[in-house]
This record gives sequence, C-alpha cells and structure tokens, in this order.
Amino acid sequence: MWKYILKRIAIAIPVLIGITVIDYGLMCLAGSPLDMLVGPRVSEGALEARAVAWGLDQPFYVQYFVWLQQVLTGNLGYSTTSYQAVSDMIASHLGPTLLLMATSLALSLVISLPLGIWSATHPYTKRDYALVSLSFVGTGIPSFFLALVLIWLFTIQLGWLPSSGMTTLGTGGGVLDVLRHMVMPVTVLTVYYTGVNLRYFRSSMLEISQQDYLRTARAKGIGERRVVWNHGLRNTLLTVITVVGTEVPMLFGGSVIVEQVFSWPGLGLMTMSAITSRDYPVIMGVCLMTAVVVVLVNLVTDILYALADPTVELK
Amino acid sequence: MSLLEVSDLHLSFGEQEVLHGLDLNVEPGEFLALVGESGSGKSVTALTVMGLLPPNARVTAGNVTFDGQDLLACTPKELDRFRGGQIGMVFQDALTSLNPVMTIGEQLTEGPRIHLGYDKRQAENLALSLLERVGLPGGREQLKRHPHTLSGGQRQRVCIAMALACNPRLLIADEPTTALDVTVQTQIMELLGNLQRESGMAVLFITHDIALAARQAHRIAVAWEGRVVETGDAGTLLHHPQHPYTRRLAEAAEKLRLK
Amino acid sequence: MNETNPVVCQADHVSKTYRLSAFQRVEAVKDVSLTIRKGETLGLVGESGSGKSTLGRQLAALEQPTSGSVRFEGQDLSDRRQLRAVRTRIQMVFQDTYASLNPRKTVFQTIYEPMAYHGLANRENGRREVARLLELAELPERYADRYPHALSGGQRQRVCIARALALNPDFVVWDEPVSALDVTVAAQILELMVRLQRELGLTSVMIGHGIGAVAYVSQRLAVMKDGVLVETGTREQIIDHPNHPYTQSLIRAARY
Repeated sequence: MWKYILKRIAIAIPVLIGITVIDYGLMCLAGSPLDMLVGPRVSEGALEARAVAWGLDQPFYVQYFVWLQQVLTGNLGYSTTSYQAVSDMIASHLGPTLLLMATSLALSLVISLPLGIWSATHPYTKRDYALVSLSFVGTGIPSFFLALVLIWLFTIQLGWLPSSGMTTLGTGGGVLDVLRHMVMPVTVLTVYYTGVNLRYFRSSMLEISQQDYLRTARAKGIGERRVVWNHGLRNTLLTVITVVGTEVPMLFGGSVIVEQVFSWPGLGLMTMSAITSRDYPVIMGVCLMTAVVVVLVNLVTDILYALADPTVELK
Repeated sequence: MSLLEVSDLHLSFGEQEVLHGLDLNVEPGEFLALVGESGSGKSVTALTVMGLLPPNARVTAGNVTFDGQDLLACTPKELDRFRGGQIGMVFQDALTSLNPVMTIGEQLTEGPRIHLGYDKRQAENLALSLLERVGLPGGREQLKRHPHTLSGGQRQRVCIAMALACNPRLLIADEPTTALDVTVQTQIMELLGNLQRESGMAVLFITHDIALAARQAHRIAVAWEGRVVETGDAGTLLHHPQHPYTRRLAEAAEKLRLK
Repeated sequence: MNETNPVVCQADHVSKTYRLSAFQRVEAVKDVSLTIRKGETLGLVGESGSGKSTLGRQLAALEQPTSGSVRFEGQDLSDRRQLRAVRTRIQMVFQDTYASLNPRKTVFQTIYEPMAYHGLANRENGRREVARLLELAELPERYADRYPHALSGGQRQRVCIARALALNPDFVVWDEPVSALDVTVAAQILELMVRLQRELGLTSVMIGHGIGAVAYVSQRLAVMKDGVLVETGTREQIIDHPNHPYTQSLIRAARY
C-alpha cells in the first residue's frame, strides 16, 4: 500500500511542475508587463531600460525560474486594476468562499448520505421515488432562480434575512451576523449538492445491496441494521471519497452565480471581475492556485482510496 | 422429531412456481446431501430455510420447522436468533461471499460477539481455533488479512469457519465445492465430513454431483423440478438407484469417474 | 495409431510471461514442449494457476509465446501472414459460456456472422447452415432465435461448440468446457465431444482440472503444475502407472 502512495506522490510532482510551466507560458502569451507602461510620453529608451531592469531580455527559462522563485515565496504579481498584490487578494477572498462552500458541502453530505442509503435499502417504494424526484429538482433548479425566490421571500416579504454581503454594513460583524447572512446562499448551494450526492450514494448503495457478502452477513444473523451500516456502508465509502474528491476543488473556486446574487465577497466574485477587466495577473494567480488544489486533492483522494479499499493495489 | 422439517413447500418467483411441494427432513447429527441439477430448486430451498430469498419470492404453501419452531412465520428479526447461531450457511462463491474491505478477523469474530456475547479477545481466540480446525493454522497476523489475498480453497475454508463460529446445530452448505478444483473439492469434502463427526452437528450439503455427495453423506435426497423424487441411504442410492432421474445422475457420475 | 500420423501442432520450449507492472512478472508457462498428431485428443490436466489455460491460448494462437514457438502443420504461427492463412482452421471453446456469447445477439447471429465473414455462408443458405451446425451440436433448430440469457449453461455451451465448428476447423482447443456445468450436463457434452472428434476427424486439446473428465475424451494426457509439464503419456500409462506424485494425487482425487 505504501508503494502505491509513494508512486502517487511521485507522479504528482511532475504534474505540478508542468502546471507551472503552462501557466507561465500562457501568461507570457497574454502580454508583456511592459504593455502596462506604454504611453505617449514614454520613450523607447525608457522602455528598454525597464526591460533590462526587469530581466525581460533574458531567455525564457531564466525568466521562468525567476518567476517560479517569486511564486514560491508568495509573490503572485500585482493586479492591473487595483495594484494590490494578487496573493493578498486571493487570501482575503478565500476565507469567505471556503466558509460558504465548506458549510454547504458538509451540510449536503450530512443530509444526502443517510437519505441515499435509506432510499437504496427501500428501493422502488413511494418514499424512494419521492426522494429521487426531489433530488432531480435540487439538481435541476437554476441556482440564481432559487436565490432570487429566497430573497423575495425572506428579505422582501418577511424581512427576516439580509440579502447581500457577509456582514451588515456599519456593524462590527460577529458570528451571528455572518450566520444570518449565510443562511440563504448556503441553502441554495446545499439544495444543489444534496440533489447531486443523493443520486450517487443511492445508486452506489443499490449496487452494493445486491452483493453476495451482504447475503452472507444476513446469514450470520447479525441484524439488518448491522448488515447495512457495517458491511454495506464501508463499501459505499469508496463512492463517497470519489464524489467528495470531485467536489472539494469547487470549494476553492466558489460559486460565481451565488456569490454574485448575494454579493458575497468570495473568490468567485473576484475572479469574475478580473476576467471582465482583463486583469491577467489575478486570473493567472487564481488559475495556478486552482490547478495546484486539484492535483493535491486528487493525491489525497488516491491516498484515501488506498486506506479504505485494501484491494486497490490489484487495480 | 427431525431437526429440520420441510414439508410440501411451494415457492414461486412472481408467477413462476419453482418448488412444487418439496419434502425434506434432516435428522440431528446426520449428513444429508440434497442432489439435483440447476433449476431443481435445491438452492432455493436452503435460502427459504434461512429467510434469504429475494423480494419477489413467495411461499404459497407448506411448512418449514427447525427444532419444532415454524421458521416461515418468523420475522427477519426473529430469524436472526437462528441464523448464524443455530444454523450456519456456506455459499458457493467464496470470493463474493466475503466482504472485500473487512479483514477475515473482523468477519469471523462478528457472529460470536453478537450471538455468544464474547468480547474482542475471546472472539479472536475463537477465530484462531476455528481457522486451525478448518486447516488454516497460524497466528494473529492471519486475522488481519483480507479475502482477496487468499486462494479459492482458503477462502472457502474461512467461510466454513465463519459458519461454524457459534457452534450451530445445522450447517447448510450450498454447492461449496462447485467453483473449486477437483483436488480442493476432495479436501473440502473431507473437512466437512470430519467436522460433522467431531461436533455431531447436522449437515445439509447441496450439490449437483451425486458421487461427490456419497463420499461423506449418510443419506441422499434427490431433487428434480421442484420436488424430492427419491431419498435413501447414500451407498444404496448411488449403486442401486430407483428413480429414473437418480439413475441419470449416477450414470453421469460414473462416466466421469476414473476406472 | 498415433506415431505415424502427421503432426498437427508442435510446441517447442514455449514460455509465457505476463508483466503485471514495472516490477512484477508472472511466469505462467515455463519451457513446455508438446506434439499433437492428427486425429488425436491430448488432455491437459492441472489445477488453477498451473498455466494450462495460458498454454491453451498459445496453442490456439490467441496469444504469442514470450519465447519458444508453436507450429501448426509446420508453419510458425508467430508469422502474421502464415497465421492469417490458417486462422479459421484453429478454433477454441471456453469455460465461461456467459462471457463467450454476445448477450445482444441471437444464437443464429452468433453462428452466422463468422461464416458470412469468411464466405462460408450467405443469406440464401445461412439458415440451413446454422441449422446443420445446431444439429451437430445436438441443439434443436428452434433455439436459433433465442438470446443467450434464455438458455441453460449446457445449451449455451452447445452454441459455442456450433460456432467453433462453423468454420470447419481441423484443430480445436477446449478450455475447461465442462467445468462450469452440472455433472449430468457435463457428461452429455463430453459424449458430444467424443462423437464430434470421431465423426469430424478433429484434432483436439482438452484442458481441465478434473482428470476423470479429461481422460474420458483423450487418448494422451499431459499433466501441468506451476507452469511446468510434469508428466506426459498415453491415457493408460498415466492412469495405470502414474510416475509423478502430483499426477498420483490428481488420480486419487478422481477415484471413488
């Protein structure tokens, strides 16, 4: 098993390096930093002097290494619109996004896993059909639509919940205040993820319930509850790891639509404005971060597989 | 009174009737073989006794009693008192019968901890002694192994150990040797015979091979198209079959025997 | 009868190694040499993992050996052009009847397809040809329009046999054809094999793990263990005077 894990780590490293090379290459294609300085009052000589000063006359791989050095020390460049350090921008927006997404994901797992298993152990009953239909609705309903409906209901009609931002303007903030602001966006996201996950877990459990080893477990008279929760669940775990593994990277990307509608100060919103204003350093910084996160999450998923499934080395 | 009594059992899958009044008795301490081809209803009978039928199966008539208790009237929860504790079962495909993500130690100790109230240590000791009884001696590290690291014959031995864990009065073995090599089949048969003689438990051995059954069985019941058509002493049945179907089984076995 | 018949299949120092990963290899067959003459059936006996099925695949040219050669009527089968010329004359029947048949094709389609491809049948005579083959395999013609899942194990195996015979092979490798079947059905299929070998003059290799079943259809026997051939001889030699202890244990298991 450890060999398997080491192999996975060994593969991840060249992938990470490859990502940085591609990222840097794309950046260069997007334009030279000198473009920021070009203007009617800037002379050729001054531009050239700047070029030398910034090392732009060096060959590509030297520039790449210089850039890589900077990245590894946390310097991702500066935004062309706000002149803030990209790394600072990402750091300040990452928190809110993580809060929103992680809460939604965790909540959806808590709901969808037991329901999915329950549905699969009572298949084709009325309740099962109801749950599956609900999950279709959850996946299918457009998030902005649901968001607007909730806002209309809870902010406009009832006045119970705030509809934008993370904290109420003017106040210091505080946990309760943030929670009140979180209720609606988290609801919208949870509805979606629950819908998706319920179907995965249900079908995984359904497949498992037909396996012979569950029949053996029943034949040992250990009780139906143990058969489902001890024997069945441990095999569903693999599906859970896969599904969560694909959803975790989204924790970092954020949901652009939900953040837009609720003016939630997260990465999604930040990236969206960067794209519309052609703010390349920010865009590339987010790209790089996302790619690294995906590679690392895949690595962790693979390792978790090895721990949860003893037969994995055979595959 | 027989240990297990199946009388006039009628079973249907949806509209299709597969058992047309099957009668079967297993006496305490006897090795009974239920022999028949695929489709004769022999496996389904065992599943009915254990309450492991699929949801579309219906018992339309008949009785199944174990030690005087009506099993058909039991809820699954009530059946759990018998299953694993008083009646143990071994299935045909040992690989799919074992949970791939659990160690064999966990799977062996489960039954005793629930039915006999053993704690972890006692159950593990029992598991080790069971493994030794079925021909897989070894230390504690064995318990940490996973099913896919064992060979087919070894896995089947683990399944047998699991079924014996709580000292059942009846062991039902549903074609346990069919998926194994001929040499391993012989070993497993001998093992079952020895275990039966040592413990005095009853064995219901289901197979399609009448000659294999006759090696260890005291009595043989021949199943054909959902009914038992002949029963009798194993040796007599094999060499002097009465019913034409039994004769077919015996002749086929004779063909495959080395002279 | 045998020593003078021409050699149909000749295996010389055949070895087959599979690579499981960069560091793991499995030597399934180690340095096996066999001669099979026209009209005879060689029985290849061994347990799971002995390499008999792997060897069978080399003999039927479904795979190429890692080293050594397999010759069919003198032609080296590692040469692709030579293999293509004799491909239809070497056929194979397998153990798992479910996996061997396309579940979405009827019996007729399964048998007709290879014949049509090789020009042995066309739309006019297709039905007749398939009926002839089904009769040869002792399966009533009305089964031609059924799907595999509507057939029993024995019936499916007969379909596989009819398909194997469809291209008029001279050499058939039977890889554990009865191991997955009930004893009564197995006996019938073995009888069919004996009849077919006699009537069609087939040369065969019968692979199995039970020496009783294998010996029933074979004139010569070869015993394999852990990839190596431990003993060969005529059926009488092996059964009445086994030399190797492993052979003796196989025979004990089959006697009762």
